[in-house]
Amino acid sequence: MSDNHAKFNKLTMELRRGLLVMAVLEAVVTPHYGYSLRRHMEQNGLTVDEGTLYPLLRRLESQELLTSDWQVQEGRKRRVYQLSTLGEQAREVMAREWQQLNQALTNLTEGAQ
Amino acid sequence: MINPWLNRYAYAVKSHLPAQVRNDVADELLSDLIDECDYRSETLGRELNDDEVKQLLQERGHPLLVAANFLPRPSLISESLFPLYRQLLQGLVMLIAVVQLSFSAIRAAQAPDPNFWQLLPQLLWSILNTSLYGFAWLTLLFYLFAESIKKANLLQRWQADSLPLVPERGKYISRTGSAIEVVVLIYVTAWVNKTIPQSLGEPSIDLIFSSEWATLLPWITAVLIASLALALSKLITPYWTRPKVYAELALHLPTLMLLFLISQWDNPITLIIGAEENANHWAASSNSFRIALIGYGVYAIVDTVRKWGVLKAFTRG
Repeated sequence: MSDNHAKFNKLTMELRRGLLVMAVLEAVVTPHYGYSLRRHMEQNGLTVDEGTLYPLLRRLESQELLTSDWQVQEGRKRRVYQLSTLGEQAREVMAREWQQLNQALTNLTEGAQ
Repeated sequence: MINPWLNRYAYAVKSHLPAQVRNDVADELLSDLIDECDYRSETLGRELNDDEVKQLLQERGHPLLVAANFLPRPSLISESLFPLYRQLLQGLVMLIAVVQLSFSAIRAAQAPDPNFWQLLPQLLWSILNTSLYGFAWLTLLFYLFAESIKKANLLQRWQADSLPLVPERGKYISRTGSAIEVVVLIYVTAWVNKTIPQSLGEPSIDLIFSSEWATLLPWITAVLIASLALALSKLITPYWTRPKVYAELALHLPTLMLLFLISQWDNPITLIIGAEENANHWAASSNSFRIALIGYGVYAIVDTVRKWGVLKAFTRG
């Protein structure tokens, strides 16, 4: 049983990892610093640990999908991320792809029933 | 006032990061930790004590693991080449074990009073020691090989036209056999060209080539390199194609010619075991090479007949 649980856990983690880029691009439509982004995603039902989120933000920034700068907010230095023009285009492409995939999955599920 | 444990943690993570991102990542990490402490303080309605801060840091994980998330993850052996690497490594270790075992047997036969319990650990140590060198060299070569493949974009530029014909009976080439072939050919090429030590072990075992070898060396090297290229191609694409069959058969001819020429010389190779004064000499006579020539000739004929079957299968396929 625990073996199956571990397998299922791994599968769902893989699924989540694939969707995480899209979720982050959606979330930073409004500028966020790391911690507020994590909280924002958590409040919307997507818990991401910091060990995954921060490296991902840096990767997306190196791919020029995000931009960031240090700002002083509430008297504290914070690195604020926001979507770049390229990131906006990527977000639209991914959203379209997601809708198509979702539709295909719905078709497959309905076909199987 | 920042809790000193948070500063210590950020400092520890920083020490594992490359200089160009060190301060940036550590500042962001510290900012995140402070925000998390504030959030927990608000929930509890009081400041966090040291134990609670340390608990938070425990949850984040070892500083090395946190830093590792920010580092690129290069690999010495790429995933796509790993099966080849593993087979070559297996072949290499097997070959080293066989060679070392043979040398130990020769030394034991030469020793007046061989002690098995002394020879066994020596043998195991020499296998381990040589295998470690082999492992290091093979890993380095594969890294360079993978980098050149990546630069040349070879795997991405493949063409469907290059797919093999399917013979009637599946004619796959054993990758283990090809791996051993590659290792042996590299070793022999390096040996005849004297790019690796000619003397092995203690007491030393030397193979001395007669002076006539210099006249044929470029041809021998050319045949060895051609054989090596073919063995590598069999390793990378382990199935027979017409060009591979023709190349394999074509290589028998120069090999036979070289063996024929060598068999005309007196004592082409001398095996010397031990130090100068007490050394035992064993000269491989021209007759030995005539026997090798006949043996190879028989093998070439059998191989040609077998490969002919493969070619016929292509025609029917």
